[in-house]
Amino acid sequence: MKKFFYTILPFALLAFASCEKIFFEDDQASADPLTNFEYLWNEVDKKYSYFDIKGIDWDAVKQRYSDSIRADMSDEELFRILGSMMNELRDDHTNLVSPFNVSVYNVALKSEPNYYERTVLENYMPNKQYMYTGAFSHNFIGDSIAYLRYGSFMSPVTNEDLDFILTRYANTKGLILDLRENGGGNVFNIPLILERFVETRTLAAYSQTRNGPGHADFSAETGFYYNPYDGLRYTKPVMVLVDRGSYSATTFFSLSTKAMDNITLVGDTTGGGGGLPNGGQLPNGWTYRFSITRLLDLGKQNFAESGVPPDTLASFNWNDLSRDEILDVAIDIINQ
Amino acid sequence: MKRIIIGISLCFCLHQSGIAQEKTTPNLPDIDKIEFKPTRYFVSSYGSGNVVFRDFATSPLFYRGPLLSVQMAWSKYKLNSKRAWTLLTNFAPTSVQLAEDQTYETKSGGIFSSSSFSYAYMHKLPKLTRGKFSFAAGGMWLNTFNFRSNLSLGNNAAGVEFFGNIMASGEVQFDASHEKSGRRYILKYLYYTRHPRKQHFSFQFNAGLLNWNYRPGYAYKELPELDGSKTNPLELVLSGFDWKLNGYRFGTELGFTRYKQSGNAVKWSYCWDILHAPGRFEPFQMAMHRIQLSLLFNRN
Repeated sequence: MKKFFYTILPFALLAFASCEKIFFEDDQASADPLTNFEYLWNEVDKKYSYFDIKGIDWDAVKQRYSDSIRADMSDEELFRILGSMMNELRDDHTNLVSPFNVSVYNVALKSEPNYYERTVLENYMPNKQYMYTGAFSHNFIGDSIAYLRYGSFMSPVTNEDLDFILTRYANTKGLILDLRENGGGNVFNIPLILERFVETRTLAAYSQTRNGPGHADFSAETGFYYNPYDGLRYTKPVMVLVDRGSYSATTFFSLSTKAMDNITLVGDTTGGGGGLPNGGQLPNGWTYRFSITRLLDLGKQNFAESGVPPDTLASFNWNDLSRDEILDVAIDIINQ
Repeated sequence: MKRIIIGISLCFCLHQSGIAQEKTTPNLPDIDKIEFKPTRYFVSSYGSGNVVFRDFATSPLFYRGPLLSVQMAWSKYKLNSKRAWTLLTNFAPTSVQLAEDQTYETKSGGIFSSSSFSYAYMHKLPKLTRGKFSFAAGGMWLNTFNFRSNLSLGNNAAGVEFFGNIMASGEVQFDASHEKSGRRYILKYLYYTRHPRKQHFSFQFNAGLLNWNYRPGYAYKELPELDGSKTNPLELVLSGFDWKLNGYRFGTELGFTRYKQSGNAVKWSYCWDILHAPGRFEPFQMAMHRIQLSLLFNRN
């Protein structure tokens, strides 16, 4: 009995202890093109948030692309097809990431750019100089207007930086915040800036998250509120400059300004990208992302994905690089 | 001369008494008394092994990694029962397990950490005790919190889940103590000297009776109401999470415990833990193996 115990039991237990393969389903790792195509199509079908708004027939997309999938196709060919299928969503929050390439829709290329940094620096900034404070480059225009350039919401915003900037420009009659070609980033930089411009708690937007298999299945709307910053705030007119390159968090920012009376949006319609992108992985290890939420204005309208329209339309004239027409419009509004 | 004879005799007697001391059973505590008299132990454990997990909400692929673990337990042994409060932390760097025919190898991985808090109670079953075998049955309340990070998953880079389990436990112990010293021959000239020891083998099996989990919602990430810069980060991370009573969890521990004369003990064990949490929408699966060294400090 003792020999039996010593000999058999440890082996039996070790064998039992390594048996998670019995409990778990099969390993789904696969380089098979059709398996990966089906997986990606299904994930998008289950979770993407803008099918109805954009009028995308996702079943027809599957039909169109599945014919191109062959078992013996190369990884590059598969990537090209899957990337093209993702771009049917017309959404810059949609990417396919492989070890050798990243698919990008690139909404900014669908229209003319409206920002040229040297025009601002050489023709509007005193001594052709910015001050650089944290993520902001800034200076006076004339002696009564503040100009702030914030190029990416990926760059961290701190209250110390904003305190310095708003103290410096406290006596100006207006402030211009240039968010043209700002491709977005961290949405939590948005309230850090906008809460300097509100005097009361302000509901500015709603969000909905996809929550079911139907393309129109969404959670209840959840609000996005801004609270007045408990410290230095700026209460004079604020012009926010945007264009088609103002994407994602910048679109979110732009939509929020619609609820704030002292802020005017100037320039071109933003690029969109109001949806929060998720992240996932295919059976071959490639990763992807696409929007799973959608952004609504206070009227519950969802124009944020096709871009937030400006309050005052203006465009950059590339035939005269000595003037920035969008910036001129903003200056005129402040001076009125 | 008389002094020399007395001296030699004294040395001989002392030598003999030394030998006699070696041959008799030292004053070791009886194992039953060690185990079942009210005794408190603080148990400090260190382990190593591996973890494998798969979160279908973000990937159909298994992630694996070498595991390091630290465990602390406060246990109390009574005549017919024992109970233990345990804190366990596991940490592992993980990497994705791809198909073998992959042309380009995707670098995807991150960190995995899992922390558990448990309370266990076992009651001896005297009627089942046969010879050196003894049996006990009881239960365990086990709570596990996982935090995972994988930057290649973008906004889903952080994975968080909570598991709660009410488990039924069974334990069998085999008393492998020996009270006499002596040589144990493996071959004719190959032997080792066995000293009197109190020790036992044990095997514990835990099976989840009630298994609940706190897992993400349909789209994994969900935007809650955002209160500007005052938004609670925890609310943001856990938005859309939901409790669900489903899945299973099993665990085993094969151990060998050897007691010291001081009442302290050393335990080597092999632990296996497996769970499957379907959640509301997409399941999470995890298995951990580890070999663990435990130092039991008698607190009496």
